[in-house]
Amino acid sequence: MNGPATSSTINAAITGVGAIDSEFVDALGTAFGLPSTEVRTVLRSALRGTGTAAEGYEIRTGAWRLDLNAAIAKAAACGTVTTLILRGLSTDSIPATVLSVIAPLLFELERVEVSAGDLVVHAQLTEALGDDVVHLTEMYERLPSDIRDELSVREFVDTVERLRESRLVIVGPNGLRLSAPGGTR
Amino acid sequence: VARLVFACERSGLAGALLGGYDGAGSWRVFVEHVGAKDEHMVVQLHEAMHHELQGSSSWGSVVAMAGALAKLGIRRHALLEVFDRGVELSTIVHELYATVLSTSVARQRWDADPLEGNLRYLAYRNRAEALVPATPGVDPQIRFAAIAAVLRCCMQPSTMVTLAATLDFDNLRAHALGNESPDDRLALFEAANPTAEWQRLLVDLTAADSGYQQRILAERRPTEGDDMAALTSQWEFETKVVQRRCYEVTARVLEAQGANSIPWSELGTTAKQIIAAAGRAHPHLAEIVRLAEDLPPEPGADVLEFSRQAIALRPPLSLQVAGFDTESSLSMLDGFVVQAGTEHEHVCALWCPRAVLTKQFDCAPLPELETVLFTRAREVDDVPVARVGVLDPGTTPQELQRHIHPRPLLAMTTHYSLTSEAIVRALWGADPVYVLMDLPIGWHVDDWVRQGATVRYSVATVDAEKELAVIVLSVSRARNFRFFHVGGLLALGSLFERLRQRHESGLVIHDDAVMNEDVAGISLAVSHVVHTFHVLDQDGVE
Repeated sequence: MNGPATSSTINAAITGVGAIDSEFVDALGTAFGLPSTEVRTVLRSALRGTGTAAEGYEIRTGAWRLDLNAAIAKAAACGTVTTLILRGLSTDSIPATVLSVIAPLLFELERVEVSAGDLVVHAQLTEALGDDVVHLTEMYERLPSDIRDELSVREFVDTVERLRESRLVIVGPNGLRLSAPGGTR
Repeated sequence: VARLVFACERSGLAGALLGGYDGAGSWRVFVEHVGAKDEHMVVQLHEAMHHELQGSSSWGSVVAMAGALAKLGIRRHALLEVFDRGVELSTIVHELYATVLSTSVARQRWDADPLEGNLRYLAYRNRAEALVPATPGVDPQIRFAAIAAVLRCCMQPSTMVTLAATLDFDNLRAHALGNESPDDRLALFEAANPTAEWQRLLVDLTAADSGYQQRILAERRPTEGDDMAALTSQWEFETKVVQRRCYEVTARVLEAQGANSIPWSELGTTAKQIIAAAGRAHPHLAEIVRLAEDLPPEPGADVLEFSRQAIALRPPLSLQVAGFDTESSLSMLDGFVVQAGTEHEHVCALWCPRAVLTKQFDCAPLPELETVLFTRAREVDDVPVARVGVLDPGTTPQELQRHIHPRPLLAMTTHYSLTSEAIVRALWGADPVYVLMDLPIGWHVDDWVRQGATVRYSVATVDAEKELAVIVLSVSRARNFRFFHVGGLLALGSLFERLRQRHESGLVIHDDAVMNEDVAGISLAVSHVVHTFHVLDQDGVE
């Protein structure tokens, strides 16, 4: 079931054709070097972040396809990718749903490509992201209260700082490149 | 509506969602999609088995409790992630368990295989059956118990011992579940393929314990077709002898593969620690997710907890409001006359708070209300709808009867609605009042008996194809109330077993007169519910 990941798979989901399927999850798993189970868990969280009440059983092992409103499919796909990136940068202490809600505030995903196990993410830090901590605090205050309940100001600011320091998000044609460590299943 | 994480589906051309378990304590059977009687039984058992595995294992109960707490609004995102991860990493074990156990029971009863043509679930069953090979001379029941033991052991990784000892739902994170997941453990077990060891054990169990099994069966005196009794006796032998020994073999096989399990003798301690942590997290959590302190659970314990089953009759019908006060509603009275011109002509009124209607129907925001005229109707385009006419607060059945004279009134309410003092006051002197039981039935019967009341009950089939039955109860202290509940046969069978255990007190009596004295009235009340409502459960307005 784990065919070679293609850039078209992920691009399709990112550009919002209205469906997310097992191939998308497997491709991300290969690219991030994570088991598909991990990606599925993050996808569930990202879907929840979009407010979609997708039934859990619809995302499962084997082949499946989830037909969604195009905007929701795009939001969930972007949420999954950005959450996996933030997960790689920060600790496990922030719930995936919280990450999937704050990620679009921090950077915009323009394109994602996967080839030969390499993941290239074209993204850019959002302009709304000012340099000063005061600005970040104001941004934090605008988050929904349930998100703030499970994300302290400090964790929020730390996440933004890590994102900047990591230089993982690069503006430009080369984007961010992650080499899949392999050993996926 | 509960989010369903474990589904039971029919695959192929006639594909449909038949049932689903929410992973945290309740499940639904979609009767509209269930084709045949056999399928209905399989779906009921399938979902109950998910619940039983979840509630009786350390992995499952921690995951279910995290899900239940998140639903209560406590650390919603973090705990839902624990729940998601826990479900994700145990999906295969769960589906194998629910599929093989629900259809192994079914196979004894029916000629046709209820999974025929259902490729997804046939694959689950084949994989489960490959865990313990069929052995000549070994009772299939012992083999299925052994399969169950393997899958249960997969849900008991030794990492849960440490987790349970320090379990704190205020800090629990998804990664705390550890790396030894049930599905990974299953794969390790399958890779070891200990066929010869199983055959020795099964032959040994059959020889050593067949007499014991016979004794247990004789004591239980299961009657033909009495599925619950058969299940219970099966449970006794499985848990006391077969489960333990098979669990121990599985644990040894996994240990050789580098994966440790909670020792059988320590399952109870781990369970107690999880229950204690649940108590610290929320006063009602241990009730929402019931984990037996003694594992395996004592025989007769209501491990399948069919009171948690919901029967989804249809998607909610649209609610059409004909009038918002007594005057305007009564001006539309003709639209509420049921079976006009026949001997059963009547008008039905429902005494309930708005929450009951919003649970059952698809409706625009409703005003506060206590009473409505109620019927099923059809829109111009023939689409069925539920029609109500709101009546002024405080309207009694006697007053309403005067208004609709000479047509008789069918006064109906729900058990949950009787928690409203205003509704109880309005219905106090009316006779009869038909009360749909939408709160836990077993608990209420116990409570009535504790107060010294006598409870008489009777049962009848509502829909043989879909295995739906009605139980009618009459309580000595409130004879004007005809309590009734419509549910799946298997679920009601579980309830009867509980009531039968109460017979010795002399306060709970099976008495068909309860039904026979008022067949017509009960039939009309049941008919209104079954043809109009969305879901039948014991969860009030949840």
